[in-house]
Amino acid sequence: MHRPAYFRLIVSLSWLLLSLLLPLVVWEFAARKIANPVLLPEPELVAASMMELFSDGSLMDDILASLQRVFTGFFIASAVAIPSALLMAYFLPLRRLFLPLVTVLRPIPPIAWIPLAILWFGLGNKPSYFITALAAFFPIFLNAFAGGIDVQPRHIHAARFLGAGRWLMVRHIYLMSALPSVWTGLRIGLGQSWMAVVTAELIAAQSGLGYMIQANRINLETQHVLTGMIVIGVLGALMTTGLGWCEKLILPWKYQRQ
Amino acid sequence: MHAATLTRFGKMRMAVDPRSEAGRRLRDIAAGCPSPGNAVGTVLLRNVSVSFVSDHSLAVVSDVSLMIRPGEFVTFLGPSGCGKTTLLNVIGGMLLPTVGEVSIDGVPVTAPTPVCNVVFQQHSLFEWMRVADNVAFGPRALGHPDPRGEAMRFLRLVGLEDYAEVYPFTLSGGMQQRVAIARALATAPSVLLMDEPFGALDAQTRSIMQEELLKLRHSVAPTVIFVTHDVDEALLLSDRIFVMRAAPGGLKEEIAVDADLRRSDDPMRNESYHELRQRILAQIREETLKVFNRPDGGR
Ligand SMILES: Nc1ncnc2c1ncn2[C@@H]1O[C@H](COP(=O)(O)OP(=O)(O)OP(=O)(O)O)[C@@H](O)[C@H]1O
Ligand SMILES: [Mg+2]
Repeated sequence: MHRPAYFRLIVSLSWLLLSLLLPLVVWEFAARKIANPVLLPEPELVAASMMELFSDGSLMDDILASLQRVFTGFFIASAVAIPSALLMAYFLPLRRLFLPLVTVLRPIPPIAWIPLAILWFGLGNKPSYFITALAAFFPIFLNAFAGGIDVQPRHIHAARFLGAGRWLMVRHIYLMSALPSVWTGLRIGLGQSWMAVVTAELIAAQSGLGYMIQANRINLETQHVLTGMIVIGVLGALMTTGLGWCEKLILPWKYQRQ
Repeated sequence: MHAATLTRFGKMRMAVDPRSEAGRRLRDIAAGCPSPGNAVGTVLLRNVSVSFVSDHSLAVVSDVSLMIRPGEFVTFLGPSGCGKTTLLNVIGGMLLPTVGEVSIDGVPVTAPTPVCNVVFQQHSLFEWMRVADNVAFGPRALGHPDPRGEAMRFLRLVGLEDYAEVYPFTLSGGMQQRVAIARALATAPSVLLMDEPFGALDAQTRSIMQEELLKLRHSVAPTVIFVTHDVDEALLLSDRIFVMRAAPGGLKEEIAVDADLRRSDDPMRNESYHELRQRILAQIREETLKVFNRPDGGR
């Protein structure tokens, strides 16, 4: 029953390979059937496009441009959302003052902000920072808020009986109680931010993966469009997986120690 | 060093000064010599009533007055919903009484402080801290010079020193309760409140935990106020038992338990034990029936 580690690694890699191969076969088959590289280029064409864009460096530039926008926006969003959400969770007057505003702003999708973002910030990086920050803000804020109000009275009482002063209370009880939710918010927020950057670049930027897709659509270079899409998908998946790994370091008490 | 670190409490809203007794007892225990001479842990309730509605009608606890002596083990028994937890909350300062007052060693209780400590029924450990950090939290907060060492000492007391570095969720329910007991004892409280601490455990673990608690009592010896549904548990552990009235909760009867009773080899076979047990059961049954028969649904 208990197989060695390398054996399990080989098995899971085989499954991964198979799950990637399957859509590839369907794609190949469909592309031959359609026989129109503008509507659906064959995988070989896309692979060639990927090699080409990688070797001339343009794809890397676009990737870095997008990543930089996502992380900047994400960082701004975290820095604003987490403290404000926790303060609102802990102080009722703040909650009463600002929660209605958040409730109304939340349903507005980031894309609806793009016209304002362009008017305010012009083209370039700034509107993209604004949009990525906005997209990450609400999941981070709402989860952090939920985490903040989730602190158990029993834990507060226990800590008081144990003699905790204000600082220990905040650091070891309030913040740690909120941490799992905050982390969930960060994970969702990063995903939202990554999707939003493409949206923002489609309209308000002159670099990045979103811009690259848009430019190649106009030129009917569908294989480049697909390259862009695949890179977006793979990078997004890597981010999600990476954060999943980090979770064991950040929330170790959620995992069985081996 | 001790006094200096303990003054951090000055910042907190506290009527009971933990510097005096708790601090000194902590030092005594750290030195390995609990001093029996200066007995602490007198709990006094004077006309305590609790009501959760604004016009003070429908009291959950009504006019309870009692005194508990230092080092005494007192148990509240009574039907579900009669106000046992509410009473413990009041004694611990987690809830302010609507009328009346509570004091420990002459100091009014208005907020949770290290003079008391509580073992809740379940899930009160800080699940994000390793077992040893849970137990060390109190000594650390109180400025003990070696919180980790202190934690290990109390973990050994409950037989869990091998589990110091794991997270609480990897432990069984009974082990978690032992950690909670170690954590509570590590601040050397004058009064230990235990609200059905073994309620979630199976019968076997439960009886082992009861024996452990009896053993522990003699090495730490605070006043213990205990809540349970289990008459045998109450008889086994307590010096005094209060059977509670239902709706509104109050003290129905006080029963002193002869210490010889639990020292006999098999108390269950003992005639007078049996008699006492039957009497208490009958009283609880009477109160429970009242809850169900009342036209207003039990309040
Ligand atoms: N915060 C509250 N607000 C309103 N009513 C409450 C509150 N806390 C407790 N009560 C009521 O007080 C009564 C006593 O509750 P309490 O928890 O003290 O009972 P208990 O004796 O501990 O019961 P159990 O044995 O089931 O734990 C119950 O009727 C309950 O509904
Ligand atoms: Mg209760």
